[in-house]
Amino acid sequence: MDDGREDSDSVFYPPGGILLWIILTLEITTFLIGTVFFFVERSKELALFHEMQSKLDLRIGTINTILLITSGYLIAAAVSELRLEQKKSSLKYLSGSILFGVFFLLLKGIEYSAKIDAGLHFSLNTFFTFYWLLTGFHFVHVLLGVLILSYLFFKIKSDPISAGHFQSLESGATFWHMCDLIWIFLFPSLYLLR
Amino acid sequence: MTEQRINTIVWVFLVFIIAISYFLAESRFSFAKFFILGISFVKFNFVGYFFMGTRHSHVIWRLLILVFISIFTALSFI
Repeated sequence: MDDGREDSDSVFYPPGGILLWIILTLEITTFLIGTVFFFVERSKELALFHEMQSKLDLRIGTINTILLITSGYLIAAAVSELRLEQKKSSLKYLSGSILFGVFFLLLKGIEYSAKIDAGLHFSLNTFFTFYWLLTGFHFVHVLLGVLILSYLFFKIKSDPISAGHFQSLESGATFWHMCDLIWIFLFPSLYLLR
Repeated sequence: MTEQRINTIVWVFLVFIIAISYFLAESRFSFAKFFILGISFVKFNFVGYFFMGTRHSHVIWRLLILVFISIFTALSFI
């Protein structure tokens, strides 16, 4: 690479800081436990789960996956640009990342609204209990991520560039990628594996 | 090649394989599940390695990402 990034051999310095990686580990483990219960229940009621899965909109799920991946790509670019002290360019990528996060939330909101209108509520059956719990919990994480990134946008925009800004943005980006990682296994579990 | 350029190539590739996973799920192809899980495995590792930047950090963080997606892949066969 010719962008001046040095590799860190220390186990204590993952991207975004070790504290955030502890949070990331706990969060992903929590979602994995959720998917254990999902797959166990699915094995008991396979026909019901397949029928209910067909009521989900695969196109919306796929578009949302692309939105999150694109947002993750843009936040990675924002971190790279800030490392090179290109504040204006970094803010441009950061705003794009926030925008795609907002698009994800809006599309998820449209999907939720359609499900409620169709009577596919939380208590309808086991599949929809898992659907609302897992995606709802993930939705809250994405919403929190958008708020964190928006705060960082205004902070970086208003202050002179500093090492503190870079560390904050890298931590915010790691949280954002965590939302992306969680969605990468929720998407096939709920929408794709039929 | 700059990190930014590599990430752009990775992003295009990820969008492409997400589209493939959509068509696989819509198809009645018998082994679709294995390909979908394979695509998820690649996506998870690429996001960690390229976008999160674990390629610049200690190997343990890359292994952690690998362990998470391996557990998920194993779970999906319950």
